[in-house]
Amino acid sequence: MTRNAGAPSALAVETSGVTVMIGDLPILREITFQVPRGQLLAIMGGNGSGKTTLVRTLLGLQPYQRGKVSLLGTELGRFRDWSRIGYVPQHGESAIRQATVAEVVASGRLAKRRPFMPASRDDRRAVARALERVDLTDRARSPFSELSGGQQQRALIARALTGDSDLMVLDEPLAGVDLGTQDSLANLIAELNLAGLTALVVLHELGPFAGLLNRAIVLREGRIIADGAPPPSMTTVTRPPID
Amino acid sequence: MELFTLPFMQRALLAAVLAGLIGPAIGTYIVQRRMSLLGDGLGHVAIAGVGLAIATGTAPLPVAVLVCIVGAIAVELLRQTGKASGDVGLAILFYGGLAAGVLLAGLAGQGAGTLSQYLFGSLLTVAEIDLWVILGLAIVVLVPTIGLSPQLFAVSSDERYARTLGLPVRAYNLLIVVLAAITVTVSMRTVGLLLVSALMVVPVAAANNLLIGFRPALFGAMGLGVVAAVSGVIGSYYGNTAPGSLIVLIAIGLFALSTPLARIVRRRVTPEFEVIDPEPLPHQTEDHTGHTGHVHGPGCGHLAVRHGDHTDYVHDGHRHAPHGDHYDEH
Repeated sequence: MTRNAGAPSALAVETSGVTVMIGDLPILREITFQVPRGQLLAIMGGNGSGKTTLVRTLLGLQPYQRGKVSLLGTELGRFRDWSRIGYVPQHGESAIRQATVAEVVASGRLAKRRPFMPASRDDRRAVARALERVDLTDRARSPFSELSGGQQQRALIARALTGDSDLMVLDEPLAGVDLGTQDSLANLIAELNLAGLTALVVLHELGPFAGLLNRAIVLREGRIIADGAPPPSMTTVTRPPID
Repeated sequence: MELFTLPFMQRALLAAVLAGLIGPAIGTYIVQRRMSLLGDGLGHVAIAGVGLAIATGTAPLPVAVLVCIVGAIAVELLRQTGKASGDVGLAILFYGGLAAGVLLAGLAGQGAGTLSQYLFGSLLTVAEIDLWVILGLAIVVLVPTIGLSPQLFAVSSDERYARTLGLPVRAYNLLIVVLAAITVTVSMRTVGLLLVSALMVVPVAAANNLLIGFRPALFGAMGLGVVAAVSGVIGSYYGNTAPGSLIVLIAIGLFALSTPLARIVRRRVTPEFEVIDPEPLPHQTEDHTGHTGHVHGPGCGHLAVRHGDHTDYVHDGHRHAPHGDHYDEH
C-alpha cells in the first residue's frame, strides 16, 4: 500500500468544537474527538442522533458553522488527497443502474486518475486487487444491480479500497443485509483494519462488530454522550435458564 | 438510390448521423441522473432562441445555441441551490421559452408554420454553413461525453460520493447540461426541438436493455441513435413527412424490440446465482428421465445456481447437477 511521502500525522481524524446547524436546528453540537491511525472505531446512536451528519461533515459534504476538522493531519478546507480516503455510503444512496461491478469499483480510482486519460495498468491492477480482496473477482462483469445486498456492499468496499486508502468511512454498512452477511462484512472490515487501515464505521447497533472494535463513540441529540471501549455486546440479552 | 446524390439529402443525412451520435451520448448521463425530461425542457427554451433569430433576422442555429445554453445554466444553478423544488421554476422557464419564441416569431410576421420546421425537423433546411456548425458542435459534445465518461458516470450516479473523490462535481454537472443544450439545438434541423428529447432517452433505454456495462451501453445507444436518425431521414424522404416523427417512432420501435431481444442476448451471459453458504447435502443419485435431448449448460435457459465446486440447474421445481451418467438432486 503506497503512503503519502509527507510527514505522516499520527491522527487520522481530529475534530474540535464542531457545530453543524441546518436552518436554526443544531444537528451537531461541539463535537470534539481524535482518531489515532489504525483504530477500528464505531460511531453509534439512534435515528436522528447526528451520526450520518458527522461522517458527512468529516468528508467535506456537510458545511459546519463552528469548529475545526482535520483529516490525516491536514485541515479539511485544504485537504486534497482524496485518494487516501475511502467512503462507503449508505446502502441504496447511489443510483447505479447500468454499470458492471468492475466499472463501479473502478470509479473509486478516479481520485487518482487525470481527466481524458484512459485507465493505466496500475489502475486496472488496483481494481483487480480490490475485487479479489472482497472476493468478488468472479462477479466483476455482472451488472451491479443484480448483486445481492451483501455483495453490493462488498463491491462498494472494494471501490473504496482502490485508491490505496489510509482511512475508510463506512455509513451503516450492515443496514439491509441478512445476519450471515453482516458477520462476513464485519470480519472483512476487521481484517482490513488489521492490515493497517483506519476504519470509522457508523452503526445502529454493535451486532457482529461486538468484540472487533477498539472504540465506540455514542451520539445523542448531536452530542457525544459516551466515548471509549465498547462493551462486548450491547444487544445480547442474557436470559436465565428455564428448568 | 437517387437520394444519396441530392446535395440537400447528403446534408440532411450527415446532420442525422451527428444527431444520432450526440443525442444518446449525452442522454446516457441525463438518464442516469433521472432527468429524462431535461432535453424536452431545453427544447422549449431553444424555441425562444429561434424566435429571437427570426425577429432579428439572424441565423437561427447560433442564436438558439446561445439562448439554450443560458437557459441550461439557469436550470442547473436553480437545481444546485435547491431553488428548483417542486419543478415550478423549471416549468416557468420552459413554458416561458416556448411562449417567447412564438411571440417573437409572430412579431416578426411569421406564424407557427415557420416555427414548425424547427419543432419537428425538416430535410430542406440544413444549409451548408449549418452543417459545419453542427459538425463543430457535435465534436464539442462527443469529446467530453466519451473522454470523460468515467468522471461523468461517477457524478451522475452519486454526486456525494463523487465529491469525496475530489471531483469538481458542480463543474461536471454544468458541463452535462450545457452539452445537453448544445445537443438539443444541433438536432433541431433533424429531429426537431419538440422531439429531440426522445433521441436522447429512447436509444439509451434500448441499449440499457440489451447491453451490460456503462460504456458498452453508451456506445450501443449511439449506434442505435444513428440507425434511428438515418433510417428516419431516408423514410421521410420517401414518405414526404417531417423527419423527427419517423426518427422517434423508429427509436421507439427499436426499444420495443430490445426487450424480447434482451432476453435472448442476456440469457447467454446471465451470471450464475451463488449459494453463499451451501448446506452439506447428501449425494443422491436419482434416475431422472426428463432430459431427453437436453443438456444443462451456460445459456441453456434454466436458472444456474453456483453450489460449492459445481453448478446446479433449476427446472420443474427441483435443482440438480449432471454427475457422470446421472443427475445429483440437490
